[in-house]
Amino acid sequence: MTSRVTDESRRRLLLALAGTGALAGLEALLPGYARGAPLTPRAGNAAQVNGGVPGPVLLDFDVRRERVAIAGGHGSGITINRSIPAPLVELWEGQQAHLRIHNHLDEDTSIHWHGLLLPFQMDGVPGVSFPGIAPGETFEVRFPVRQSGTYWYHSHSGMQEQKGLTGPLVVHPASPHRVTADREFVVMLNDWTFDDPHRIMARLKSSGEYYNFNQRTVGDFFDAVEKEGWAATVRDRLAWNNMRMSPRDIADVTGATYSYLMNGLHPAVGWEGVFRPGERIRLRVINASAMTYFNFRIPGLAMTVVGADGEQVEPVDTDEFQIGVAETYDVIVEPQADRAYTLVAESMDRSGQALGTLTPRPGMRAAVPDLRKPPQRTMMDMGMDHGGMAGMAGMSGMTHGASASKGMDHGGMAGMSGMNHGASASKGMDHGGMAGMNHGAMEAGGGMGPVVGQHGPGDHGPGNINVAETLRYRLGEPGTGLEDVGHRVLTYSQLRNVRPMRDQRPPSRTIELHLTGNMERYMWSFDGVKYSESEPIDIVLGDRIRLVLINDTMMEHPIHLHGMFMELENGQGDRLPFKHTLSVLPASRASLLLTADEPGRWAFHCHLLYHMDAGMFRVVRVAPAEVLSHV
Amino acid sequence: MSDSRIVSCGLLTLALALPSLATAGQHGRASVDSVIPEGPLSAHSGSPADWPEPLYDDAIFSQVMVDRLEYRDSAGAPNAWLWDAQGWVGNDTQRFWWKSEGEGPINGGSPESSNLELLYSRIISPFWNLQAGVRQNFNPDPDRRFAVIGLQGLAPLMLETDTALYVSDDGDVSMGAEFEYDMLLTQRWVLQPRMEVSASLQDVPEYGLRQGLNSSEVGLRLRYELMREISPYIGVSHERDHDHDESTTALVVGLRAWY
Repeated sequence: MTSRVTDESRRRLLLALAGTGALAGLEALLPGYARGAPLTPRAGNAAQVNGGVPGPVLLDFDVRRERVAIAGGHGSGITINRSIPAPLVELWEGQQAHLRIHNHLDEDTSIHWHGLLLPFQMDGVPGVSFPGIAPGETFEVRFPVRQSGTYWYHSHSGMQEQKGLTGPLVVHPASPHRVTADREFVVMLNDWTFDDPHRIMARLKSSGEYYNFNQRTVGDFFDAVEKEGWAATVRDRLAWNNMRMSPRDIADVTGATYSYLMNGLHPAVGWEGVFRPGERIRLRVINASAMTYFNFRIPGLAMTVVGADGEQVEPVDTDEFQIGVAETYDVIVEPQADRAYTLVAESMDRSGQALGTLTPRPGMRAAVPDLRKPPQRTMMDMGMDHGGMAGMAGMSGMTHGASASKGMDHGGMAGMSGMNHGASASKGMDHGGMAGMNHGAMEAGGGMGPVVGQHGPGDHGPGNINVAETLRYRLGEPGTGLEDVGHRVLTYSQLRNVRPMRDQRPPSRTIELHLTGNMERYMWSFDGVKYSESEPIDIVLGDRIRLVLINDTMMEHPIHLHGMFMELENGQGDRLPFKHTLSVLPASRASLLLTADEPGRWAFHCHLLYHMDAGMFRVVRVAPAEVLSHV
Repeated sequence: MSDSRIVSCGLLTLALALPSLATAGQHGRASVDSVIPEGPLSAHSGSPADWPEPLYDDAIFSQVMVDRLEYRDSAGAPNAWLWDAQGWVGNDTQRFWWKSEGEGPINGGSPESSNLELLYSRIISPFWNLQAGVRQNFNPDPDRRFAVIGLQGLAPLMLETDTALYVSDDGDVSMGAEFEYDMLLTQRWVLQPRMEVSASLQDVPEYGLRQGLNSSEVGLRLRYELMREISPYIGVSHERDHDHDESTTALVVGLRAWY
């Protein structure tokens, strides 16, 4: 299939990329007289989404390693078309995309189009969808665009996404937006480091708390004694020390090495978006970081969430949201006053923040809030709960009985032999019944969600430290550190699809995976099994699947499935929201539904870069049963 | 998402009947035949075996840790220097591990004691390594070799623990144990209580060892982490030689460093 690139679309492209610092890479598209000297690589790119006339798109991506001015210093980074972050790509639903990747590195590269539906050969995961792009080679990606929304793209090779190979991707809808806006900006968040990511990994393998400069100290101990008394404080310390864990273990890699960037710019510079008071502005917030969860808010300005992971949701008014690595949220804001507003993206561990400004006049700034007090994990995050199953009393919507375990198919557990998956599902609980539950009670207080199960026997081996004995439903919670902020915070349970569920069949099979890890040795896995010890998870094409994720660790993990959207069972009846990446809270159990309608080999992994590289990764194979049986 | 997301059985059958194409089909989907390629496959990805793997989670890492490199100023005994270092190389589960300790007078002369252990180390639980190997003493008895079996890891209460059982080439059995605890005064000032004991299962007259506790050390060191890898420290150390009923107390100043 060829796409004819007209002069019109060439002009449109140039217009769209003007000022992004990306023109140098588009020389192939320029007539000879227009070719200037290559630009100096420079961090920061234009974040205004321009739209324009729908049409097929042809783009060239020149991948280079060069020294860039970034985050207040100079360092080696991986650029696309001379830019970090990579330039904004705009596609149109219903049109063809033709994307050519030229590798000028001395190592393999790749680009994964995060959240896009496409043939798996185009998905850009070396070793899964294609062999990778060797130095000096070009790889051509072609696919018809079948969706719209806010997405992003990044390298899937050799930790290159930590060194700058991430970019925003916006797909304009074929028919006009349900939610219109006068102006659109991408707000892309990154965690930049001047360190070599392989060195970071080596340090973590030697010392899991290497980057954590927010540990509990003797001073904290005496503060706690003052507040809670000797007995309670000593009991608490003994409990954590006995488990050999730290309640301050919020992020593996922190502001000790990271600068948090907004649209490629350091907080000292600050990205700036200019608006006219009274305009409706769509902000497309993308967490393109390697390891960092952010809390996003605009002091003095309410937000209306209208999109999650690129897909539309019913509008939710809120003041703040936590965004996991690789997630995206679309929000509408309507600043009426003739004043500047600060965009604050605070790292979840509060070790730094990315900053930007929405302003009616360039250069105008608003107050920047101080970093808030770092959060702490609780015993609940460890899956400890002395109340046992008492918390289940209020769960009237649930079906108790042995029936649920009858229909379970452990066929998907290939390669996990010897492991005991006797977790909560075998307790005979039907979690499908949770759809009818009212979680309103949880959203008000920000307390822990209800208990929905107990961990079965089996501890997932030496690669896993903690077993969450008590599993909770935590989709109604605002996220770590946002329980008591005194304003509205988005929760997963508020996300409601604008369209009813298309596939109403009950799931024919449940696949249960435990998220497991060992912070002491920096080992990360599913079910205690690393990728290099695993086999693909096979799913029959067209099947309706329930995917149950149980987080045994004390950290949240953003779990990403390539190639297909999952529907989050968050109590919204037949309006379950689509997710390509789900942040699973500690000691929680989350379930998703999936219609496996995309044949292929798809990556499935934790999107914390260093967790993925440590082995928290699987391949999911989707094909007709007769094809799978040939393996 | 367009309505073509739902593949009807009819379409599916049609797709199966068509020759497989490596690129996009009519609806931007891959052909079902391309999911399982011809030829040998990677057991983990199901992709052709000659492709690289998507990630290498079994990589080899290493660490060298000089836990104590110090000058000891003792009352009533010659001033001394001491080293206590170890390192490993390997993957998450199996590692080659070495340990070396030594002590000697500051004003020349050979070390009073020094040794080297070469061990195979295997993770047996989330916090513990089982170690086995050999130990060679260089001072004071260079002809002494031992078989070693040890347990090293992080005990409850966050105690860094290193224990070993030694069997000498004469069949004498002894044991050693070290415990360290890091108490954070601030994020960079760390107070570290330390305890070390060694004991014999029997008298070994030719080496001056008696059955029971042979030596013990209790220490307290205050270090400042310039960076995680480099920490100068000061402290006190009280050593006791139970065989000869002697003890020394030393002020120590030193460096803890790792890479």
